[in-house]
Amino acid sequence: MIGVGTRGPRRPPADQQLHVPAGSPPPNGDGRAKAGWHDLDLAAVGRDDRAAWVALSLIPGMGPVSFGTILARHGTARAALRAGEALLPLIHRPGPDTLQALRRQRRQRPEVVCAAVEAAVARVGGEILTALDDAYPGSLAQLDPRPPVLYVAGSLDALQGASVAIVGTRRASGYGRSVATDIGDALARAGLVVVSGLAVGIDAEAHRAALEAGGRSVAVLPSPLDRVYPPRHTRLADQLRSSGGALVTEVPPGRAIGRPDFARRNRLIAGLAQSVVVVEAPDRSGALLTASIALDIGRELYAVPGPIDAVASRGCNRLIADHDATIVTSTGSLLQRLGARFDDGRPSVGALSEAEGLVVGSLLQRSASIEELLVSTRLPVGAIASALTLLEARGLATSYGGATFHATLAARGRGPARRQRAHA
Amino acid sequence: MDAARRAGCRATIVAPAAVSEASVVSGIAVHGAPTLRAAIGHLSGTTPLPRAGTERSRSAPEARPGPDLAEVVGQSLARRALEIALAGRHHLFMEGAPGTGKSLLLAAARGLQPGLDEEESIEVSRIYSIAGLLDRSAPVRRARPVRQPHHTISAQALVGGGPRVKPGEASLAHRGLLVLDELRHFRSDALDVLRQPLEAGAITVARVEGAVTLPARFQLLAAANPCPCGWRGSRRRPCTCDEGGARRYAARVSGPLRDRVDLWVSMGEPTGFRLAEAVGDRSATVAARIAMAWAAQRERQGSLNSDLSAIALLGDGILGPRARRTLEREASRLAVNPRRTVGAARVARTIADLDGRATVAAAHIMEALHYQPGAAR
Repeated sequence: MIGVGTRGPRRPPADQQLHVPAGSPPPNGDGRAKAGWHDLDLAAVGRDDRAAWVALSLIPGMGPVSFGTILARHGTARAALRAGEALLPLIHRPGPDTLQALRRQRRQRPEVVCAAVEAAVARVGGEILTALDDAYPGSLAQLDPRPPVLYVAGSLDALQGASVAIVGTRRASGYGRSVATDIGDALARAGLVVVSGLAVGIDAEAHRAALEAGGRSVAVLPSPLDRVYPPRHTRLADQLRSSGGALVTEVPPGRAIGRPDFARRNRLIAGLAQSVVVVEAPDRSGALLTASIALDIGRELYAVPGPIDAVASRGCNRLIADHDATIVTSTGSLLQRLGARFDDGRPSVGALSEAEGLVVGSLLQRSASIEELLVSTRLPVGAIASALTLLEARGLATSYGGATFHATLAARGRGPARRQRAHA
Repeated sequence: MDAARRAGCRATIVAPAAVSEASVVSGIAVHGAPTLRAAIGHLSGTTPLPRAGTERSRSAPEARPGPDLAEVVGQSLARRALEIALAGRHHLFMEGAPGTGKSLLLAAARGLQPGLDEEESIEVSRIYSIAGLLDRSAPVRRARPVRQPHHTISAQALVGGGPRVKPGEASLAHRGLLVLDELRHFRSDALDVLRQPLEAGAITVARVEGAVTLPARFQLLAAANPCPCGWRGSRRRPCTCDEGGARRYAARVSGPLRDRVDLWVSMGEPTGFRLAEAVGDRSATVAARIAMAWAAQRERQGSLNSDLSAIALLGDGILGPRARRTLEREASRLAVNPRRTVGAARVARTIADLDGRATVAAAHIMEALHYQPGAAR
């Protein structure tokens, strides 16, 4: 559930708003609102309310909860918009311009408002998806309340396919990045859509791995489609779109983003994917919000364990300890649990020197710092530095900027080949 | 005196008036004999002459030797990088969280430098004389200078200037070490003015009457935290810096300055070592290797590798065509820019010299590339 408390005595708490208390029947008196808008018969509402849905969702401060409450009270969005400023008490966190927007929209035709937004979305190659549309992702049905309106760019198919979310901290360690890459790669090769939040750290590694494996990946943005956040991932976002993936957001074009948008993004990730894997999350991380929503709506939750002294893994370790998440012990076992087959057809690479072989062999067993490699390989430090550079240049090892070096997917691919040579 | 020492003499007898001057040459005992009879008495052992040692002791302040390198436990890569840096006088930058041993390594560096030769000694003494820092009773400085200004230093104090041009820290560190701990806390204008001496080995101070050029062929040894709070990349403590602040902090060492630093080492937390492997060579052992590497360089090209021009360096006698091709190929794979590629070639040459090899092997090239910022990590 979106973590919104009440401020001031004027508005009752969120869940009471959703479940209209007995004794105060909704104005339209059909009793439908009792269970919240989740149970609204959308087919009965009809597509002719679509433009009004879009228009209503644009009111500043309007989230899925407020939208549901209003729809329950007024039956249709069109009727709600006619109520104008009377909607204000039903809006959860009204902004300074909420009242003005309500007054303005009361006078405007929803079709005009909707067309303007549609044009703005089309300019960045996107489209609008409302919960009334057939293409609206079916997986979001479990999300209560579900976002009434989504803005999507890229392939709508990607939103319907079997998908797994990979989430984690922005301040990822080399270990976290390495694991996110492994899992993203494996899931994409197994034909699953990788869903994440386009943030720096774990998210970006998961998206990139899926892209590089030739798979599809969906990025859920905390920002409008016309202003990709974080800006430095604009190119990555374009690549995701152009390779069969999609960008999804609840934020309408041109809107400035704030804190709640990140929470909504995390919630939407849990809603879109059938399973959620938390790769690395410290105690207070947005990824844990995604995890708790995933649990609430009955998604399979997986967590990657980390060292007990690693702050970046505390959240993950706790999810495992509390039996909230299934432990991920290897990429293969994760895929097995997800019911996917592991495709290990990776190209092998050229010959390595003895020192390079020792170093990559050690890294394949366990990621290690230079100090640890000194112990495991018994090579002089200069030889280790030299070997690591060559392995990095060949794409067989990486440190992600940290002090620990990891064997890459390419190195793992050549594992069997190397052993065969050793036997010969 | 110098010639006598080179010829293997261990002691000389000179006229008392010449004792002071003769004592300037180190490694040889000097005795003053007022008469021939006194000299004979000394040689026969009946009336030994006192050994003149006063000049040398007065030629202080000698740099304190600093802590022994073996006191730095773990951090093998940083110790190795420091050894390479001193063996070829390459500029070095160390980055790491607080408590990883950066300052200890910087302090240990002063005990690893070979002494000044006669010519250098005179150059350095001249600068100290202009600066008014020369002890009149000890007119010649023999120890390689080590200057470690505080990070609050002004640009002018760093490179010199003023109405009567005074050498700054960069010139006082000529032929020696300029140690800048907490590099990212230095004023950005101070770091900017270091670019010229880093490149040219000299500083030109513009005056009304014309420009004055001061020598400043120092070796930069710098260290810094990776981010304002210091814990970026640490696994035990969370970094509390915001993303933008951390990036601005990292950018305080500008691209041009970064490109002139040939060795860049990132120091991890001291975990994962075993004491047997982690305790490295003592300073004396490392200093001996460094001295050998210097001798090899001077014999081959008459200068240290850091002083070689790019043309001389990439020539066949120094780097060799095979090493050059390896470097070209790997540097482009790792996206190392041309300036840094030349820097890596110098470092590779030094690594081969430490290794006692006449030719630069592929392994030397790859190790040199490991010390490039960003490329090898």
